[in-house]
Amino acid sequence: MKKFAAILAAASILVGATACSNSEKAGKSSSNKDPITLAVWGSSPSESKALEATVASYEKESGKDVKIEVIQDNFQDALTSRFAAKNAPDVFYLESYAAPKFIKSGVLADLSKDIKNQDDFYQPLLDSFKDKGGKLYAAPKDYSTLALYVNKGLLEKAGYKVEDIPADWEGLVKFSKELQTKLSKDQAAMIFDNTLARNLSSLIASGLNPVTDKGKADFTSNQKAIDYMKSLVDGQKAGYLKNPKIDMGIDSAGAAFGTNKAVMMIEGNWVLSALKQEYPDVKYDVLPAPTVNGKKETMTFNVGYAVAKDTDNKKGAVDFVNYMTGKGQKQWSEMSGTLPTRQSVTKEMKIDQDPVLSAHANGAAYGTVWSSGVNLPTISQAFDNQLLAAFNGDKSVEKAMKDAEKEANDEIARQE
Amino acid sequence: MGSKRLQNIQGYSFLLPAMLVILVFTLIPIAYAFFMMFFKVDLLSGARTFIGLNNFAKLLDDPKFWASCRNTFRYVLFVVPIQTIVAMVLAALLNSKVKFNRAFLTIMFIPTLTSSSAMTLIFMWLFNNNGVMVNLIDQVFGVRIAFLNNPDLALSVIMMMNIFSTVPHFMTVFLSGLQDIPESLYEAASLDGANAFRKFMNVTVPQLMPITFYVVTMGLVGCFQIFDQAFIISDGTGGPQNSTLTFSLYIYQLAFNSNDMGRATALAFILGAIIFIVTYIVNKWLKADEVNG
Amino acid sequence: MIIMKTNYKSLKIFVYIFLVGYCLLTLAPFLWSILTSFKTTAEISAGGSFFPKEWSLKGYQTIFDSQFPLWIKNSLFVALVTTIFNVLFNTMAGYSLARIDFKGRKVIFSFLLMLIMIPSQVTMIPLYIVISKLGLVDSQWSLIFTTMINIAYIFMMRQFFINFPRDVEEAATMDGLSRFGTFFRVVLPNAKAAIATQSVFMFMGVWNEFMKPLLFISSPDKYMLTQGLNAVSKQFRNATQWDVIMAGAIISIIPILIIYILLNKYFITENNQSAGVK
Repeated sequence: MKKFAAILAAASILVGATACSNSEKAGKSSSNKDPITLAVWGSSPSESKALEATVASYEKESGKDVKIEVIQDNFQDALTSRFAAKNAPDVFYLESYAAPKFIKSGVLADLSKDIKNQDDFYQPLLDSFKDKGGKLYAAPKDYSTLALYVNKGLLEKAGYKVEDIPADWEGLVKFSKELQTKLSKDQAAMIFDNTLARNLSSLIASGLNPVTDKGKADFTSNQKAIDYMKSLVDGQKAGYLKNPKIDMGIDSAGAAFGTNKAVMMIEGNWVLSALKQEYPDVKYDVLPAPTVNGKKETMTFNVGYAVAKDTDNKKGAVDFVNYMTGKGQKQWSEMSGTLPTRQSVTKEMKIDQDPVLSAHANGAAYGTVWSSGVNLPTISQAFDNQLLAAFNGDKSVEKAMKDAEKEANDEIARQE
Repeated sequence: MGSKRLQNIQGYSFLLPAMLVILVFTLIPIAYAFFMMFFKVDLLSGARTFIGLNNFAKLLDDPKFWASCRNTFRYVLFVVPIQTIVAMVLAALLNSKVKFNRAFLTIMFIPTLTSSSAMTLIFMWLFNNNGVMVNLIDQVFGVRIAFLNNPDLALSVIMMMNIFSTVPHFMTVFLSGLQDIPESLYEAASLDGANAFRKFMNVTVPQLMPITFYVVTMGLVGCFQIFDQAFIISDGTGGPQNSTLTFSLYIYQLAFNSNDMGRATALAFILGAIIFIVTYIVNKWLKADEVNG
Repeated sequence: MIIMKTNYKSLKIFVYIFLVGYCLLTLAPFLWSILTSFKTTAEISAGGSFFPKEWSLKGYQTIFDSQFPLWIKNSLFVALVTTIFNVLFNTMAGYSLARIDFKGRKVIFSFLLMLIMIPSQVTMIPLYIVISKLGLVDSQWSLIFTTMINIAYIFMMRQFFINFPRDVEEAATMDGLSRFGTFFRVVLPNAKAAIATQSVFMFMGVWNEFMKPLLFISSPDKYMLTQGLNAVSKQFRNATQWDVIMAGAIISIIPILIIYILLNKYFITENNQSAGVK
């Protein structure tokens, strides 16, 4: 009994002591000079190094301290926890996809008057961080757009040249069908992705906006959009369009392309670093994403810096964001290999003349940003879930789109 | 022995350290969550409005709730009996006088150690539309079965994965339970002329009942709360056509896609109640908790 | 001698075939992981063959270039401390619930069971709020405190103690030992198999814990091993570096495997000399 009591007492003292010493430490460090905290997600080594270097340049110039906190995974969940505990970072990465939710919750600082030289940004990127009243809540940091990648080796082996590839979607589908006859069974003429995130701009170009003005789902009001989805389903059934995971057992589109299992893919510039490092032997060309219904289209995925409303250091945070998206942007973009969000920096870095990057960068002006109000997550989830039924032949495309629309709108009604 | 009062003091002092930790780090968070289910909650801003039982009404009216209900029950009905029986039989086999039993045990334990991402990668590699399994079945039977995008089969792939990785865990638990069964019981059974199978049914199974109660209950909890595999295989969508949507995955979607923490917690407590009721019924039926109780 | 008594030769052969077959089945994915850790990322993501086309050490190299010795130290510290707390406190609580006839034990037991039935997706954020209020964010103690008790293992220990032979306890009480004395000197030494089981799974659980370190720990020098390996392997946003993940998985299971082999003798009595006849 005594022995046990002694152990218990010792344990509780130990525990109490360390808890105290810890909170003391925390208290001290927060009172000392107050660094700006920046929460980011884990990314490639080159991006991590670029971030550290750019932040170091800022620290040197301003004499302020910035503490980078890397959240490796489940960034949204971790950030939500920190907001719930009133422990939010001063500045953090924000995807435009998630921006409406944060804006609606009212936890972001209004940066409309704080961000400098806003006209210089590509406007679609800037607009994705604005609320309906036009107030700005984040400054774009970098973005990716989709473009058509062509494996030159495979294409030439099949007897074609890059010039033979049609620039419009319908032509591209026909071309893929023809091309497939010259390939082996485990190769794909073109890789496709059946999620709304990759096809939203094509649907809009077809004349259908899946997210209505009232924030409801609409997948059925336009026959051309349904025909577009049908072209994907037919292509997969016939085998000239393949989904890397489901049809080929390959982890990602980039890997299928890099290992010569696919001739074409419509992908974002994020595949470039993998192509460079893992598959250096593959020769490829990058063309603009195909036109749909005669209109130029691509998807844009946009990330920005947002500032928490409750920060005790808004001035410092704004100053930092202005540096990172202004004076420091060139250093960041050059080192990380991401595309700059300012037109002036794009020109300065001569990206519009780069044979690979220009196809992506030109898309920034007309691309559809992957962001469309607070209901987009619900709408896209219903779409992705139901359209799979069309792909495995359980439902017609019409029926799947109808079911997806109903599923999404029912859920939206429940959220209100 | 001892007065009732002494027993009470002894009982609670043995429980004290555990209860303190549970109070702060389990009970307070659960209580916090418990209140959220009567509110419409925006976690980011902390704003909440009282809406009473509205969250529950919304759920009962929701086809996705019923889909997740159906999937999860199907999952539990299939996985729990199989994993319990396989684990028990393997443990009994290893505990009999088998040569190299420790080597067998160590090897069988390995799937528990293999990370779930590696496990999923292996299964995706085996079951994709151009993978080993599909091609094998094609060669033998001449049909190509699409495991991953066929709603009827996607869940089965996850089931197999789960059985594979939880059997060693429960087998080890059964084994340590087997160490406590007195030799004399088997000897008595031998004298009565019982064969190996009779001894297993008449001695091993009843003596293991308290452990079986544990294994079945934890199996039920684990299966009802299945999340990881369903999330990885469907990229978090629960597709194709909600066929891999489980309760936990739907809770996750509600909390983080719909930003509706109130409804997510309501569903979590419904799930908790279902698990509790099912566990109660199953164990009453098995008469699992009555030995020496 | 239980199953295979003397003349069941065919049954015996069947048992061996079954065991060997099951072992092969379990070993195959593991072997595949090891072989995969020596492939290049390009080869893995393209599906590929069972054996590596060319043996690459890049996965291991990437890990050895990181701070991983420090992360192993962190993980060992947290896992060992929590395992000790768990074994002591869970066993005490389980014993109390099984063997001490105090008022309200049935209610407490049912209540504890209810707590494990609430899925963690909804309690994670409230738990973070508690940790944050206690000032424990970014401290290893947040991990230790939140995992130092495990209701599932309280439950498991209770089930073990239910069948625990009563005469041993009674003899000890006759010798004049107090309840605590009986517990530490008689009950604990007789529950080695159960305690070994609990230790292995507890250690493994903490070692592989993913969500808590992710939420609670933000400084790289305090990372747990799994968290650090995850950080290292997230090279490209769209192409996972499977060789690094696999190499990391192999490295991270070695400590658990060692512990398992060390504690193996408590799970089962070895008999490699003679089979069949008692």
